[in-house]
Amino acid sequence: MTYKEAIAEIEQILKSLREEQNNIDTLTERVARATELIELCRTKLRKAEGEVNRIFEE
Amino acid sequence: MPNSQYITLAQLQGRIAIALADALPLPVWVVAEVADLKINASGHCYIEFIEKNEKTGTTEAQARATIWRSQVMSTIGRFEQQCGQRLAKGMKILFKATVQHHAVYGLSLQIQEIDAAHTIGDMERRRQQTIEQLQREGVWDMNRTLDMPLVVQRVAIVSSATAAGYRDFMKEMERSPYAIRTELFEATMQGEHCDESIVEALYAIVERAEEFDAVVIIRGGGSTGDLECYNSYLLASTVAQLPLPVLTGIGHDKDTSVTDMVAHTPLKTPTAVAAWLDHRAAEFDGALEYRAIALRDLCRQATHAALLRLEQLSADMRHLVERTMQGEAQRLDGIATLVENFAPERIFRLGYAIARKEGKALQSVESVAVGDNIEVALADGTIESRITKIIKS
Repeated sequence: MTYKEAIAEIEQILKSLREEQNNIDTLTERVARATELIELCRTKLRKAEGEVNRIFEE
Repeated sequence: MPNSQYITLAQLQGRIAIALADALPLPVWVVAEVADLKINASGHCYIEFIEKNEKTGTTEAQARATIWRSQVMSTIGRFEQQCGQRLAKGMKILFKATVQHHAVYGLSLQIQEIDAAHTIGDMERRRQQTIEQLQREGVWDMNRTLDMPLVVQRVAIVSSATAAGYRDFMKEMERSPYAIRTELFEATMQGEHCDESIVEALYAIVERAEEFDAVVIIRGGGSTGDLECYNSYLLASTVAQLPLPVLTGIGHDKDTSVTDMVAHTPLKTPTAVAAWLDHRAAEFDGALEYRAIALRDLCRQATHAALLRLEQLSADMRHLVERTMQGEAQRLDGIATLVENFAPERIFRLGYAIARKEGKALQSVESVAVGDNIEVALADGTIESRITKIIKS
């Protein structure tokens, strides 16, 4: 999954959270998925940052 | 033929000399072109003058002239100082001379003075003619409008290998930290026909034009004198039409030569040319460094912005979840209150009782009759009772 795809899915989940406030049945599931995606994006970002910095140090 | 009817050659020469002295007793001002010039071992200067027909080029007059050693400095020296030019072949000069006839050496002119202003004017006129011709032919701007590469790394040099100017140039180049490759195309840089020699070197460069970024023409290193060939139409026209940009460091302090005027980048001295090349490389290097920093900053900004967005999304989500939970909790509370309102305890507390017949709560007097047994439930127990009377309301 790409960073862009992950962000798009997070946005989609947030939209559903805003619009379907009383859908408690899938709340946990949606929050868990969004949190997982946010963590994935953080990892990708840190990795990219590290690589960019290494390139500049060379 | 009687003896009295002829004269000796010496007598003839003597008569010519006398006649000449009578005809031209005082010095005269004469304009002529220098066809040849020699200073012999004893320091006397011999000049061969010529006058050509301007249209046909045929010789119309010719004469020898002498400047005695004692006068070389005061005439030629002064002339050269005023003109900034060597007295050389091809130059037109205005001079004051006496005319003499020698019995052995024939006619000769003794130069007393040379008028530098006339030669300067003549050179300036020819210079202007060259400029106008180059402009008319549309080649004037050609070299100047070529693109100079961002970094000039492969340089063809036209110079004499032994010139001080070339040494100055190479010394300055060695100080540069940049790898600028030079190749020398040797030429005679001053004196007669030096324009032809330089043009020959330029042609040799043009044959390998794709191997070079630019051409440098250098000369000088303190030597003053004959710069007239840098005003030559042949040289200026070749430089103007060269397919590579030309840098000049001809090293003069007076007028700019026509060659400088048509060159892409005219500079004063060979050292200045070397410094220019180094500076151009340094400028490019600096621009690269600047771009690298800008790129790094952009990357950092991008990752920083992405991180901020991610944090924002995370916070948004937490907020939304909290709101959802809170909303649902409130709704549940409301429902709970509603439900509680219907609890029997509340009914008993308010002083109501529930009447049941056979376990079913009574809602109307129509469902019972006198004599029926019913139970009346209260908070703390049940009353068994019989109906004795029914009053309909």
